[in-house]
Amino acid sequence: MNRELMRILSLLLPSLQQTIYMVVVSTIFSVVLGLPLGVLLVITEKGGIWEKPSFNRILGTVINILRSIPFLILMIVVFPLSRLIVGTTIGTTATIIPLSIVATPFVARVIESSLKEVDRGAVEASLSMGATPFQIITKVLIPESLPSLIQGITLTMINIIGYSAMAGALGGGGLGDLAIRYGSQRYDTHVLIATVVVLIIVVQAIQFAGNYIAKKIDRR
Amino acid sequence: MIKIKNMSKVYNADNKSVTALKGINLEINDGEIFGIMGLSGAGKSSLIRCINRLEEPTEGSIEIDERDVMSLTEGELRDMRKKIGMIFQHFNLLSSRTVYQNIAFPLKISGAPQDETAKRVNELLDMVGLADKRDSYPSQLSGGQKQRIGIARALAGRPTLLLSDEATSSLDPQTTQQILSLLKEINSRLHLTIIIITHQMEVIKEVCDRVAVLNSGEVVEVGNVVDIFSQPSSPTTKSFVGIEDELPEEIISLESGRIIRLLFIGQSAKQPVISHLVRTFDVDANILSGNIQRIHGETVGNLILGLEGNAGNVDRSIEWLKNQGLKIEVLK
Repeated sequence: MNRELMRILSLLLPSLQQTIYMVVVSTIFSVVLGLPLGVLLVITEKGGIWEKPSFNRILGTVINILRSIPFLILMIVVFPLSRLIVGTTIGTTATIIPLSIVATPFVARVIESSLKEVDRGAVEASLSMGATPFQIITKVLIPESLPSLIQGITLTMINIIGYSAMAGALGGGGLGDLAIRYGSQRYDTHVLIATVVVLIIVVQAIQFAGNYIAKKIDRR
Repeated sequence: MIKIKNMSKVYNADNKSVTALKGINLEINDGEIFGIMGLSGAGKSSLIRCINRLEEPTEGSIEIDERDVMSLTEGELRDMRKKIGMIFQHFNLLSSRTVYQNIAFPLKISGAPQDETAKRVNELLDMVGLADKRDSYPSQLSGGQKQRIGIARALAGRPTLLLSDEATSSLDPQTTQQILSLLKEINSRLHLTIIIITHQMEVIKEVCDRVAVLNSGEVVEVGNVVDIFSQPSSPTTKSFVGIEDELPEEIISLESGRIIRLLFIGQSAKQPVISHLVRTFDVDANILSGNIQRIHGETVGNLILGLEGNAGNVDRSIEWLKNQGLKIEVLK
């Protein structure tokens, strides 16, 4: 019994570590790329603080196209890019590239909807004080919607966990890879169940942390 | 001095164009409290937003202290806005910032040094009487307190003009009074020009020196508040003041004698003209309708009288009333 537990743990821990690495780094990349896109979506729309309706339409379309590509297909499509940047197409580091790409348009939309929750009056008041569009973005839109942004990022992380498990099927490493190799291919039920339990715990922990932080900073 | 000339605003949406303002001409003097009154949809909000170009006028010109507002570049416009404070119906405070940070916000935008900002914010907190709420968040304040913070924030950059967009419309009557006294105090203490838009006549009566009445995007009447309210000429103003344009038919037919409308302003409102009239001319005076109100510290009375008796006496009594310096309108 003890030996079985040790065996499972020795398989699980490195995989968990890989998953966390992939998810955290991809989340950072997708937020760094998605935040400006989300901001652009909001400020360039009609009635926004930097109205550019045709640009807004083009950007919206591009984001929708990216979001409609299934992840497994996207992963294969970006193999050349992964090879170019990381030097390989397999392993956790290589997987970060398609994960970031798939999450970026998602983040852009999540951030867009968070920023749209900001009271139009607060923006108008800032304009009446002579604030520049950049000041409105950094000092009004983002701080005012921060609790909602945190919730959005939490949602993104959980989504990326789901995608990272899929990436396991294509040699991505992490918990998904473990579940496929041991659970599916070797009929190792113990490892399969343990993987599922760990994933549930990780998702719960992220959701709990996200809710906690969002609530803590919410002054509305 | 603010000069608005021939300004109009047209909204275009889905092949439909809506004219919100047409041919607005207004001059607002330095240091006065100028009211713009109208029902909702009259174009008040568009008008006040055109002054600091939160909305772009479709036509016309706006001058503030001899500066053409329409020709300013974006940067110049931002600099000008820093000298124009604005307060709002829903306060529009930043919910993620404390009271202190909200008042400091315009100074932060202007890049004012921190020690200077702190000094100014504390000064303003004292002025609006909310120094103890310094570190509270807006959600912890009442409506009246939020508006005080809004006012403090609007004054932070030492503006010369304050725009008030229905600032008391979502407050209860008592809080409205407090906010209005604060505005009055600011106006006299800082010699600040204030433009107030509102649909509440009490606001205009209480604080404004002059008023423009707006109806369907046009200025229908403009002038001194006491004059406008004591002798309203447009139907819009009359309905605001609560003067019925025409007496109900049954009252007119019931009354066998003459009917006159009497207007008292200021001192004359305090004289016992009617009892004098009845005693001297031996006529019967019957009050058909009337009201007395305080407008900007002046008493204004409006009375509709039916006069009965000997025809000669009635005529003489009307003549006498006219000589008393009262405004009289013979209705029948």
